[in-house]
Amino acid sequence: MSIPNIITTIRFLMVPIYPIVYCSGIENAKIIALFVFIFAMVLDVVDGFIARKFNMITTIGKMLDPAADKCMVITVVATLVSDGILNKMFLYFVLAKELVMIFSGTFIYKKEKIVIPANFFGKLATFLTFWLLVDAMSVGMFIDIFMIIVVVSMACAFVTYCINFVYLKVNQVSDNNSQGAKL
Amino acid sequence: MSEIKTIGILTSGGDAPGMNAAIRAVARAAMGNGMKVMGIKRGYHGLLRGEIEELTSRDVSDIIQRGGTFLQTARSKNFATEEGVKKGVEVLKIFGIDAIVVIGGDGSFKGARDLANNGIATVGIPGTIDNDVGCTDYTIGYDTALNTAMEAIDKIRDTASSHERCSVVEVMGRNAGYIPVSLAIANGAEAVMVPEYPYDLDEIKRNIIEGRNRGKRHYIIVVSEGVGGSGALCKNIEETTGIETRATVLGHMQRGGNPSVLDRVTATKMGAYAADLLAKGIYNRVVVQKDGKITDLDINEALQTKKTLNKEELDLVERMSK
Repeated sequence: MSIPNIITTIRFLMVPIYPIVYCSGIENAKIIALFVFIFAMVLDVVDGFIARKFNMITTIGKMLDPAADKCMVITVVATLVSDGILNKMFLYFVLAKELVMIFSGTFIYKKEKIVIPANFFGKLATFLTFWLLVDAMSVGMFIDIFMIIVVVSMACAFVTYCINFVYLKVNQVSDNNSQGAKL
Repeated sequence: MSEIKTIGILTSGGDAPGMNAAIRAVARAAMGNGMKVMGIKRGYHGLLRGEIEELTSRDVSDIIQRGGTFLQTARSKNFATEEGVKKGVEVLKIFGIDAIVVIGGDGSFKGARDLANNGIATVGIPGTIDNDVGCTDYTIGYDTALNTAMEAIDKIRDTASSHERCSVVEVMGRNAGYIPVSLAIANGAEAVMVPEYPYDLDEIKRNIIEGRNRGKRHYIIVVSEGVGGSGALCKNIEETTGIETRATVLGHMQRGGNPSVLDRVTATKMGAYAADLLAKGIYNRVVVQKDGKITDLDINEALQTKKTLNKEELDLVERMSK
């Protein structure tokens, strides 16, 4: 197993640790949980960096890396919702968005053999989600507005994703109608 | 333009042995330069369709020795239009690709130039078995195709010699005579017919008859596909000389096969050179080989550069057939 994949596995193992620490009732439990979350996110950046820098990108890694990220974020959101810090509609929205993206992504890949790339809003949403969760666990200011901003950016990401797909699909259809000579 | 972070690679037009070696070299060198590398399938056709995926170093393992191109290739009519080019630029933006490396012939470079005019950084690598790219002395795939065709003609010669036949062999090269002339020299052909220079069929038939009188037992005539008509030619020769004449069209077998040492080495050098150009922020260039050295030319200049078949080589065929 390559080093980035070992790091990804550690990130998976950290997913259950987060709610256990958060609910443990020990002193400064929430602060420790916050560090568990931040550490997992730092590892996410680190394994991606190592994989690219040292030519260690693997097919399994390309699938596991985003999966570990999503598991962590959803677990943290669920924990914070159960603690009453975040609105439960936010959890439903994040869950629905991830499920739709996973299923549509797989379906499009199987049927059209294309992978719609991540767009600017998607990257923005990931970035904002991180800060929302850090905010929710620490200072806890402007959480409601922050949640709305994250939801809007996720919605923009999804709409852009759909536009990009439709754009490529229209190209394919017009190309099929005037197939170039193949020599 | 800001620093180039993500590059796309595509192969376009006819495939050629050694294209895989070039893809591998571009990908590995670019990754070494800290770039992200995307593979675009089926040339400009696949570009418009968004058939684009990130390549890893492992994706280009075990391909240096394979003929053809694992990225596939196609000719796209849609891309030849202004609208098609605009769409291509849009797709590249969706995938976050700043620069593309195009491996192919003159037609492929025209597509690359159109992308360059629309703000995409491009570098061309000459890859075609025909060797008909004006700006470079050598194109990837030429040597392998020659060796493949040479071996095939050797085999035809064995049987032609046994039956004392004349063999007309039609070889590739489109409207360029580089393949037929080299083969005619390498295979000791009686005559060669290329699109660039006129030929005298009566003279060729006279040579065949004179050859027979001197005790020759086989006659190979290499015909370029750009001249064509090898079937009618056979009939004509057979009627005049009375020697049984058969035509063989080598066809697509000339495109296949594992690339030769020369093609692998040239492809690797050119591929790494292309990736290094982009890393240095130099683009809208074509990588060429001039006097044995790998160098680069502006893409517009490259498209205007012409080269011609050396007449001396053509004369050599005739001198050697006596």
